[in-house]
Amino acid sequence: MRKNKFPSLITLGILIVLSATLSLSCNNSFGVFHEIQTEKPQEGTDTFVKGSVKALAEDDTNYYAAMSKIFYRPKHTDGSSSTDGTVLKTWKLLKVNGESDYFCSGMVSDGAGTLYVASSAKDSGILNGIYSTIDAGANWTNLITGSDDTFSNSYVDTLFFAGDHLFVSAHSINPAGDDLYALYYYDGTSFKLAGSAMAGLPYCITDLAYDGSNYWAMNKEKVFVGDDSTGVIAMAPDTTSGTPQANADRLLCGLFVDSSNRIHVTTYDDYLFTYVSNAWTSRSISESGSHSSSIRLGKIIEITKGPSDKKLPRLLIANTSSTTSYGYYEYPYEDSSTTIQAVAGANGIVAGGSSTYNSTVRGKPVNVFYVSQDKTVLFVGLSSNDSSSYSLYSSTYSSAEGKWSGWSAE
Amino acid sequence: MKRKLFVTVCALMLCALPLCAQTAETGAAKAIPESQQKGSQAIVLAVGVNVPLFILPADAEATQNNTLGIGAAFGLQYQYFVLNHLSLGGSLFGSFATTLAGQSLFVAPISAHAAYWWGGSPIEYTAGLDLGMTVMRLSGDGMLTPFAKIGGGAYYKLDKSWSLGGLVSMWLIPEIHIGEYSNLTRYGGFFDVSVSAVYHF
Repeated sequence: MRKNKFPSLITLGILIVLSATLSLSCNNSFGVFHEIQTEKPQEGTDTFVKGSVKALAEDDTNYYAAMSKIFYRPKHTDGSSSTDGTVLKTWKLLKVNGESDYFCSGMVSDGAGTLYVASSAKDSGILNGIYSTIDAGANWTNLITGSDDTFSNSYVDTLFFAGDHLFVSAHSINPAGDDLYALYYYDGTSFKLAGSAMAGLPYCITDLAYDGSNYWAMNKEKVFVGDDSTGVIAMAPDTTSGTPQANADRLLCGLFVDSSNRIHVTTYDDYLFTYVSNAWTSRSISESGSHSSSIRLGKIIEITKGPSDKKLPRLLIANTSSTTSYGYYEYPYEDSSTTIQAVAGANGIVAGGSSTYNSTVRGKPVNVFYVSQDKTVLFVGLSSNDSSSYSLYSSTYSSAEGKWSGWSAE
Repeated sequence: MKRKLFVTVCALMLCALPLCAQTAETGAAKAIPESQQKGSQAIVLAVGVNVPLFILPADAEATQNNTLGIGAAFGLQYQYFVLNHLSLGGSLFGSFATTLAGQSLFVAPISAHAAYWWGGSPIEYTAGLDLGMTVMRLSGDGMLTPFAKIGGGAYYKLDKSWSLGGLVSMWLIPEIHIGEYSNLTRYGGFFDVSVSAVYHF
């Protein structure tokens, strides 16, 4: 007993190895205690805990968030606060056409007071109808008339609104069991295929926008474009030189038309494609200026408001990489010298500080961005697997203060 | 308020240890307990709570007080008596705590340990110092920083090999940032209270 030599060398060796290992986790730019000191309480609605928000919309009175069902809250809260000063925001379930037991297959608003909802049976996924309401859900109109069998053998995946038209992305299953996707639009009386090339697609249309003269859509494989100059919308794969296309390393992830009618497309391999003056350009926007395997770009939105000393407008681009903790980047795209890392979400103008960013959006995949019609309320819909974390946050721009409030749980 | 009261009581207990030691030393003078003799070894296990006391300097951006909750702590320690009563060794600790906004703070110090033991039958006492480094991780990002811990405890000897008791200690964590990020430098203090078991061999 107790006659062993003191194992100093072994202990020293263990300490050195452990210290070297631990040092790999050192990030001089990240202040742990600073982050903790500056945290703000996040008290949101239980509905959004450990959930996934897939679509956001608004009409004249409410904001709407679609999960498996749709929830809404008034645009203007009553100003009541919890004990810690958090403004209370009460979200309620939206009945669609009088039904509360449904599955939301799609939701979109037109920016002029109309809300569109695709409602399906919760178990079978069979479409109940594609409804519109102009009075915040008090009355609904089914856009699918009795004689319209467009979706009789289809499942609706997403709704879009662009230009003056409602679009529906849907899929059917062929005899071999393969999903075949198609894009339709509503012409005011019935749903039509948005061009013969828009049926039988192998991948779902995930984004769609209008640049003032053309409609642009994308799936993860390619970009589609078309107009309605002949009175009907006819879209087809874009054949412009340099158009974004999938390859072994590249998937298309997001499409957005900015306030200057430029079309932006993001890719999984860190590239931002921009269409302007009838031509595509592309650039890697990682820190080094070359492709970064740790950056995966996703959904896009543009913000035009912010502090006067910051570069505006800027794109918010989702990061779809778990390696770099999801979240998003802010990117003042008119400044080609700015790398995306330089304005990571934590350092951006929307988040309200890195502490708030890290305790809200960071670490969760972004499903959808939404900015209000007056451009002053920004929402981000996320997927949250954490039972103590929310899937919907908003940041509000104050003209008086000239800044965004920072992310706050809804 | 409850937190301050809790910390104050524990601190008073820690301060009272030397008084107990005076009584114990009278008996200890007769014979040095085998477990405290040169060449003895001990493994200490501890489980307890970690109470955040302060983060200094205060941050001008802060809008809330007490943004860090009381956490759970655990520890594993090896000690070798290089002299009678005096042991040297190493420690591994861990602490989890949740922040105001639901983030998780993980602190994992590794340190060299020196302790002085006295008393022995049936209660033995220890006071020690740890110096080392700690990893701090806050929801994925983190820092490697210096670490110091000072504290002590009292153990009831169950038999020749095992003792059971409690430890109280103060953790000091200077989070040092350099260069353009030096403004992020902070100093954190934690109070740790643990139930502890010691195996002597």
